[in-house]
Amino acid sequence: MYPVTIDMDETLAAEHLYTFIGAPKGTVNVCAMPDQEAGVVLKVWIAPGFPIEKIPSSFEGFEVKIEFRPRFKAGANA
Amino acid sequence: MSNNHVSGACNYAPANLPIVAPGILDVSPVNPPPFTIGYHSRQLDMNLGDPTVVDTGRNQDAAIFKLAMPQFVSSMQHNFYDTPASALPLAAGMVVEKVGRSSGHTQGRVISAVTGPLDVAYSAPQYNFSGIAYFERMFLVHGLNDRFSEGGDSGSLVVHTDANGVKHAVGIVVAGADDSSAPGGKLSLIMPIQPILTSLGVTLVSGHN
Repeated sequence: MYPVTIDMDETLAAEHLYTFIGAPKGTVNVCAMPDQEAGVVLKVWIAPGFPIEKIPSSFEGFEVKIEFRPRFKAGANA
Repeated sequence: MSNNHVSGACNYAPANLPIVAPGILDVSPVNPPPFTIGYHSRQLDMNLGDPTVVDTGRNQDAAIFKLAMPQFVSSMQHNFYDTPASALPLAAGMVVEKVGRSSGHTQGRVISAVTGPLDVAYSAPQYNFSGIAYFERMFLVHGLNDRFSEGGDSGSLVVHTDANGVKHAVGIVVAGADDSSAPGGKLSLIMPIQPILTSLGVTLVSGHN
């Protein structure tokens, strides 16, 4: 499995998780996000079709949540 | 300075293209007549395509134009505050504010950095263009009480006030997404300003008019 580190800075943990997942560029993003229940969670944004079995349920002491990536749009009608 | 997708037409604006204010979308009988505020100068790399086959690592959505008549332009962000002369790195947890074309003056909090290339959908219909660009080192902002930004706010300067009450530029608004957990239902995507200033070789102007 992967190493567990307590008091890990959550942004660093997000970067570690991104590396751990090892997805092709552009298919996954990881964000350390505030969460009402857990305090901070590592959100893994995935592109449709990405195999979620590659993603752990917790990492370096943080709960991991998987979501489809939001659709970011730029422009006056975004 | 603004976004490439605002004043640079997603790489399709030719050099010296007039930039008008109010922008074309705001031309109406109830607004002041448009005038040429400047001329498109250049933009940073914004390579379209999939990051597995295209070098998107240097992508920045930023462009600059040369002011036509600097004496008639102010560095004030509407009448709320002056453009700071200094810039700081963006960081999760920062309280930030901006003044934008659509949502005006708003405050928010940086909730996270985004790890990995993130896709943003663009369109410049006047050039029959639409496409996806990927960016790294982006940040997410939630509004404090309502949305931080909305469509049409792109290019707004994002500012942070430090513990001594001094304002610093930290980013520019690039895009947004729907987010049911966010105040106002909007998640804002912010690009750090320091790398943009460095890449363009420019500094911020404060105290002008």
